[in-house]
Amino acid sequence: MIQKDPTRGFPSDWKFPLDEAKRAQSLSLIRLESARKHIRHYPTFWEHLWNHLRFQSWKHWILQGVLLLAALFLGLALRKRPTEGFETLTACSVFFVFAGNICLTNVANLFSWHMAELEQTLYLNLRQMICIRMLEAGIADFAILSLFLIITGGKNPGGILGSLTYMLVPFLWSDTLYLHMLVSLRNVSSGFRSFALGLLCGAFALFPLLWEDVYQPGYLIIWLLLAAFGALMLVVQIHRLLGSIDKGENICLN
Amino acid sequence: MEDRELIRRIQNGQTEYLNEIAGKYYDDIYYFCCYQTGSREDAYDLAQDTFLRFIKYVEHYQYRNLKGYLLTIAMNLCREYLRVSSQAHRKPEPLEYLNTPASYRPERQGSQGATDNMEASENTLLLLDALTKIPETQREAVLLHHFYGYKNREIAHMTGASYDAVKSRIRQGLYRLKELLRQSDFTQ
Repeated sequence: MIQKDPTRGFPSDWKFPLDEAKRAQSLSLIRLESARKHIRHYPTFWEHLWNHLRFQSWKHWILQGVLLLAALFLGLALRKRPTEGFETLTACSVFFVFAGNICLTNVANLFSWHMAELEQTLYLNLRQMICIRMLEAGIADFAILSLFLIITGGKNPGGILGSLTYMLVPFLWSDTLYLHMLVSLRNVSSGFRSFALGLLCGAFALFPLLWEDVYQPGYLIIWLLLAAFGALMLVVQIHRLLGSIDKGENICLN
Repeated sequence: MEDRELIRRIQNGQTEYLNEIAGKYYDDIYYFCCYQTGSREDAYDLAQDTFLRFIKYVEHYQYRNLKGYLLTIAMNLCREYLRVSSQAHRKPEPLEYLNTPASYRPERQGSQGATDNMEASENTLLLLDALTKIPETQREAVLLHHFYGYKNREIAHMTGASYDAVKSRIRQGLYRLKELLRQSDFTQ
């Protein structure tokens, strides 16, 4: 009988018996290749993260602790003192900017002379290393920001959302600048780079002291736009930093 | 053992599990290569090459759908095979193979015992012949959809074509296949 729809008959008939000798011959060749195969172990992101935290120096943990304690004391001191809202915001912004830059120095250390080559020869994935260190810096920054918002949020004009925006803008732009300088001025000494960056970011964060009205609710939309653009620029800089590792040109020029 | 676990063990250095994967999926890959190229003999080499290529890059493989991944490798090898075949003006002819007396088939010399097990039915050979007569992209879409049960979206992902293109290829391929099978004496 000729079928009306021949395709309905496919599954019952399409698997014919194979030539067992040829199948066995193929499989034995595959077995031979499997035996010859040497798998190189590449640690996963989580293994990297665990190893990274395990081998972090005690100096690093002390620095992180000092930063958090300093943020706590600053927040409490500003809360007790009868300061104006804008002064509190400016002080928090300046501290947050410097704390952010200090946390990012841990990322910059990966770009020290010959570190990148050393890490790559030790099969470490440099992209993952950088992501882990940025994640770590981000968590520390988040903790400091939360602390400031909890302690001083109610005292500031614009409430929690306003305070968040006012503190994020200088932080985002200073981090963007930091990463830009890290990629573009890699061959400049790290001391000079940090000094120049400190001056620039500090000046930027202190700017509201010269113009008090800048924290008025009417300017909030400008702050929001600056925050959005700053976040975008930060993403671009991170992408550029990771891209420079992929291409390897900067690393090879070390 | 689950594919995910097999891959995890292989990537941790236990390469003996590669044999388990080969044993598990060899037949599926063979049938795909066979119907895709129309050559029952070369399909053994293509299936073998599929696994050799998989072994070569296994440490970089991120588990998702192992059978689909192997079929994608096989599909690329078949494309390469067909390209080389067309350049050499050598088209596989499964019916010609069927009509040739066994004593004149070079690949069967010295393995007569094995050939008894590999006799394909008339229907299978008609199907094989009909499939070789439809365009390559339609053939692989029909094979993956109707023989291996993959969804259009999955085939689009495997072949790199759009969803609509895959849908159209399956529809057109199936239509042509039905016509070809009706013209032959394909029976159920």
